[in-house]
Amino acid sequence: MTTDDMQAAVDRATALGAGFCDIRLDSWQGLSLEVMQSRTRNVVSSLGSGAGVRALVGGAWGFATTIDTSRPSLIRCSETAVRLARACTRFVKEDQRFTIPEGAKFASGRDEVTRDGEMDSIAGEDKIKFCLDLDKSARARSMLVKNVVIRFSESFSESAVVNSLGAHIEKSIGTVYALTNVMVKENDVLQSGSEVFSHIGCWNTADPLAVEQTAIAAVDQGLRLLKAKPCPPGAFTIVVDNKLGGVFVHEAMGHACEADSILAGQSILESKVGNRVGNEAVTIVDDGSRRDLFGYMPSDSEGIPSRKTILVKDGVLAGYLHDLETASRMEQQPTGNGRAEGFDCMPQVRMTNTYLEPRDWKPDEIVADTGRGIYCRNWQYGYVEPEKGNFMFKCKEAMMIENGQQTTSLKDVALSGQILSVLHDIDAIGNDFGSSGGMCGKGGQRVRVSDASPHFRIKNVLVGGMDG
Amino acid sequence: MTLSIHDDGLDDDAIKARVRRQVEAHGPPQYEIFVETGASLSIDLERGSLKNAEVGRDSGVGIRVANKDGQSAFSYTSQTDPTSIDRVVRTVISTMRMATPDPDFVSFAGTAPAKNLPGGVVFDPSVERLTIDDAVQLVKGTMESALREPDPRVHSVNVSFKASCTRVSVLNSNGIDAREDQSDAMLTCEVTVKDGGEMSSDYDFTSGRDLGRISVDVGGRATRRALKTLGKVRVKTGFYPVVIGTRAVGAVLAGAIASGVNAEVVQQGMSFLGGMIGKQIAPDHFSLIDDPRLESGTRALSCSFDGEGFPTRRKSIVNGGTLETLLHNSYTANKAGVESTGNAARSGYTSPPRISQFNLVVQPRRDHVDHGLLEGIRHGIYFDQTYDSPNLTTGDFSGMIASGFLIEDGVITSPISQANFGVKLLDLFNSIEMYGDELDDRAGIVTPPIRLKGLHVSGSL
Repeated sequence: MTTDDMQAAVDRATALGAGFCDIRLDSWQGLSLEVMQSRTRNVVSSLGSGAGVRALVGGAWGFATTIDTSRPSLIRCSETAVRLARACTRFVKEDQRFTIPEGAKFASGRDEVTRDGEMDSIAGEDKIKFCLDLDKSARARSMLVKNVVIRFSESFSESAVVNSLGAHIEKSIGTVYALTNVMVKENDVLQSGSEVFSHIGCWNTADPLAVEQTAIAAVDQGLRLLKAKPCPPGAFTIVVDNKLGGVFVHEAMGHACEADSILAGQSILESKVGNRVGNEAVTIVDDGSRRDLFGYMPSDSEGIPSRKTILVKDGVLAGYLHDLETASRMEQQPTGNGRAEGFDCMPQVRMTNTYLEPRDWKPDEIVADTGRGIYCRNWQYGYVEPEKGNFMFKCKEAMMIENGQQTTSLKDVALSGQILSVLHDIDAIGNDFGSSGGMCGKGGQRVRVSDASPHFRIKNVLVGGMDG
Repeated sequence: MTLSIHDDGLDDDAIKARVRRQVEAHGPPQYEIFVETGASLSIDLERGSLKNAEVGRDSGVGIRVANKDGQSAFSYTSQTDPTSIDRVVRTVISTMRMATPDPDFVSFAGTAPAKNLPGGVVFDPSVERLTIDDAVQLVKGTMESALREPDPRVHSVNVSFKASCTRVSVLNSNGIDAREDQSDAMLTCEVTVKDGGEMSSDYDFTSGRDLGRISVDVGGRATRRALKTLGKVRVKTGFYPVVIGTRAVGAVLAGAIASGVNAEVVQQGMSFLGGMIGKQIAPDHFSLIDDPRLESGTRALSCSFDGEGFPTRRKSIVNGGTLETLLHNSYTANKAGVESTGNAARSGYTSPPRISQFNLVVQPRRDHVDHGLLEGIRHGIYFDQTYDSPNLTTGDFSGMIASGFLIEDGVITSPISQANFGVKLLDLFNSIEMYGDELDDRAGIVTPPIRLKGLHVSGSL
């Protein structure tokens, strides 16, 4: 395959009447493995490639994918994509017709975040040995560790995008993700702890000591939870750490700012740009160009360069995240947030690295200034219903705050809130900054993201604990 | 441009034969070859306007090998030409040599008397013949159904339809040679409603192995559901009698039990149900079946063999309140010295087999089924939906009631705003009181609504 073949497929679509067409070709290799009970399980190596062609006719997309990346196959895909789009075009409402205007600034050339061959520069045996050593380190941390599960994965992918507006983009990037999950037991009380390491680049550029620290942190977290008490239910003032704070921003605000949900009439933030949505200390940003964070990418799946986009500026909703379609339909500039999980998925509007800007409180001062509340650390998962305005997330561990002091350790703390009110209830934002990387799911597609924030405090958050 | 999996030129027998020759030439005593080929079609309608249509074809092969020391590995590729196959075989064998020996590994799945489910149970040829125009008619019909009774509070209607056909075949060195064609279709309608400053939403879907299950009436149902969520009221924190609606039974009850009896999780010592086999975990009127061989209803997860090619079978997970079995694949079964329950599960050719349930059927004892399930509840909560999942290690479950309603004097009244819950799962199982008399069959869960003595709910009033 060459970009000439991709161009031929694009040309075929435009010759058949597509107003816009792009083709994305991905190839990848991967290694993943698990260590369970100090033995490897499910050592998986993978190799694959495929292409997806998207054609826009009168405001409807046709999308066809193939794993046969020969020129005839790509051209057939283009023909199918146009045919699919045409089947829909006559049912596109007049006010929802659009095209992708010329003038969007696409990336160009080749962006090698990771070079071909880097993944193979360290032998698979060495990666397995590292994971087995990691298991030993975690077990050596405490006699109470009863089991350790390590999930390690490394991938390298190359991607090319060619479109009918003349863009030719190629990029290559590697990632490493390692999860350590430990089970600890004391006097018949079972608990688990888990911590994640995420990295842009292949294993040859990762810091093994940082991975080991996550394994140790997982054990320590499990040990703390052994002593944790159930959390009382009700409304509390909460202080969140960097990791949970990042997920809070992602769930409480980020998803509702994705312009595809605005256009679909499924976001509570529809028509709210320019409105005050939070305390004036609150500024929230999405920035896919941050090379130090796990949601980094040089350009998105549509070839738009990554950039910083301000979602909330000093408490006022400043804008939405866009892909080519939503930017065209809302007469905005694309923000580089059109992302697809793979060649076989249509791009959707997705976050990248989303964070709350730091302010001036020292983290310790926030806790000391809190009379009664809960200090919530780290996250298990979170989700949001932008169409209802609800979000919820679960933290991994928490401490009761009484008279400015951390007292009792708490477990299984679930927090929920409402998008339109919660940012008003933030009343102290720290001067620190920390992030965590993970995978975000939407519409059946998972993409890597990072969420980050300083420590901050929110009043009146509903907590669902176990203690009735 | 149909979903045919029969005329796309991919010969799974030829792929299996080539992999087998290559593996046998390199000498690992055990191998398993999983070949999958599929085609899918989907279409989305946004606010009354068709937005996009997609077709995709995917196929690939996943290969597992193991030697006598229990070193094992898995490799997959989407490229099924001879050169790529030869490369992936070399890769999986070299990867296997890197793995640690595993004395618990005995063998891949063994053969057992197998019979595929009757034709038509898991594959509907009419799905294969679907055209894009058929799909357009379905989503348009659904939108019309959603808007049939005009209501100014309806803000947006979004509809999506997806159908796929897949041929799965598994061959291994123990003599397993299984093949099945499967089809799936799913039609979903989401309706967002607005009334003054309040915005809310709900959805409904219809799905199954055959097109006969797909009905555009899902549109009207979604609108009615969404309108019922307007006018939310806050509730006080407290202990409420609760009815678990059928959409929530999977997350809080049936699915939680099935995840807890996953033998891999249990053998890792990470399940709250480890060590509970043979013990009473629920009232004696509660039973839960895992039935991959369901031949009626949506049959959402029915299939003849599992991800290792081992025949599936119906089994009681909970019988009269007693926990009866773990769910096994060949690895966990061999380790435990029992026969596999046929619960190896894969998410396509890209994944080695793990463990999962198939169709879960809640079976109440007849004398605890009551048409008037809500009667006698003076002030309670109808728990309609949650997206949370329990902590399987501890058996603690806290989360948000994503959709719920007040029950007042035996009648469902107002929707509730922002309420969280927290419960120990074993307490929840033991608090089951009775069951409604209407079965719902969706996404692999067949169940009536279930009434609990009570649940701690954190409200915001």
